[in-house]
Amino acid sequence: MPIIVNLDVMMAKRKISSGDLAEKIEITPANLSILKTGKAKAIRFSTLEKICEELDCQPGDILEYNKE
Amino acid sequence: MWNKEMSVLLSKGLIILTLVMAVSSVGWFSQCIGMIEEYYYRPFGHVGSCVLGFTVIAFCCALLVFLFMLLNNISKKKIFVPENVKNLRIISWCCFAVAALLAVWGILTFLEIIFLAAFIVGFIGLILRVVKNVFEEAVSIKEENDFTV
Repeated sequence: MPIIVNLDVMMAKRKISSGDLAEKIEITPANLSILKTGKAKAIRFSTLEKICEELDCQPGDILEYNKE
Repeated sequence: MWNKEMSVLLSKGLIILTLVMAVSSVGWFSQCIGMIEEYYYRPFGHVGSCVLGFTVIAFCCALLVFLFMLLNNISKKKIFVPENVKNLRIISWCCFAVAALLAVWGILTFLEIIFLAAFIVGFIGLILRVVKNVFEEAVSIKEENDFTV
């Protein structure tokens, strides 16, 4: 898929663990793992909003389009 | 009280019963062919007709086994999984194979009843193929839904 999820990069910048982030944005660690590993097929606006709020960033910081 | 589990159990029981009937038919099938051949044209000879008939029975048995596997997955709540798509695909191809064999038999013996049976089995195979296509699409929708965070 040409959409790359850079969530792990952003999490490293903010120095936040997966467990903490999953708890704060109210999703399961399993779902966060799906998102981090790039297995996710879609992301809800509500989830994206919570991630951006928690990591204090823009959606573009997390999602990247890379032409294959 | 009648419920979904009992319904699945009944279907499984019927499949096993049909499978037992199909396997046991091997014993009297040869005699049955002999009786038909007394009145109708025999293009393959007795052995040829028996081989054709046993091939049909073998495909029917394979079909029933895969039908049982499909039902087994459904009873385990594994419905929209790639394995069921594969099972449905095999079942539909078994139907087409049986229909083709019966059609050849019908053409060579001029028995209308065999033609009718070939048409019905082929039609069932076609319906199952469409169901397989629906399942295939449902699997991809489920996968997308499962991987939406």
